[in-house]
Amino acid sequence: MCATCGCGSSEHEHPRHVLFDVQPRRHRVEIDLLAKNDRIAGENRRRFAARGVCAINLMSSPGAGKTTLLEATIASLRGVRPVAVIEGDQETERDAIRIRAAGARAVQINTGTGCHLDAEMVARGFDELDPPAGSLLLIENVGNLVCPALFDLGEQRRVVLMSVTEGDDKPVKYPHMFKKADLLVVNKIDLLPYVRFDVEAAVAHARQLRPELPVVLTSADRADGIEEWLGFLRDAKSEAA
Amino acid sequence: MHELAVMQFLVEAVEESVPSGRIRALHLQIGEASGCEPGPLVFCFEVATHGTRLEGAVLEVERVSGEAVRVTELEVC
Repeated sequence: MCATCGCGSSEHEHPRHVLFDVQPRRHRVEIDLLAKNDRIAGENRRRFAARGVCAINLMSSPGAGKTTLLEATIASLRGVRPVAVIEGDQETERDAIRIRAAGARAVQINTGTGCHLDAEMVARGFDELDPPAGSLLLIENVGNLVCPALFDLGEQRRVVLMSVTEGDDKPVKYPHMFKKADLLVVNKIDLLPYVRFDVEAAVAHARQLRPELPVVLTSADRADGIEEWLGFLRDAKSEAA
Repeated sequence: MHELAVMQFLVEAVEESVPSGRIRALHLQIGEASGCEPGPLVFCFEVATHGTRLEGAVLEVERVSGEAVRVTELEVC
């Protein structure tokens, strides 16, 4: 094999390359591919705790109403508790602009071709946001029910939203996401009279994967169910403190 | 396609743990509950290793139980 370029040819004629005979060696190793993300997530968790920040990772398919729920949350917590938001999308600042208009500080992370946030992106977002002590940090993940499930961000709670315009069988079709959820929010319940969505079936599907998963029904547009949602956030906060 | 991100972690971690030489083969264990599928991982391996010391390496895949995705053997020369 060539020691310089490693091309493996015994007939190598390149003048600057050195040929010598090395047999490949096989090593046993233990390289966990998500270890780097998990390590940074652990650092995030320690930094959040040190500042009394409670971080919530919100995940859903695109269009389930994450940003609208955040707007309603910010409106309800005005003067009660500082809220900061990390927004993840492939492109544009649109969601961060909406969040700032609602009255919270926000940083937009554009993932480009990426389909999820990872712990390093959240660490950078946290540095940039620099939220005050005791803040609620809401992390809106990229709209996607598959990839974000794999990446621990250092959050205290994982929340999955689904809206009634989606199929009520979403949980069993995307089990990884629902298995790791701490709360299921079923949003857009004001549309229930117009769609074929069975709330009980959706909850049963989700609890098949995560027994006793708490569920909150909301219409973020009309602020229905927001009190229950705020109750969940308060409980998460008191546990984090 | 989170498999590409996972393969980029692989390249980074393997290059860190093997300071010199080329990687000829890797044995990769993929947990059934990892959320990663062997097909897309193998597809992304080629893309992620392009221009690195892992380029052209043979990727052996083994399905195992659990959530982890890990490299358990490396062939280096």
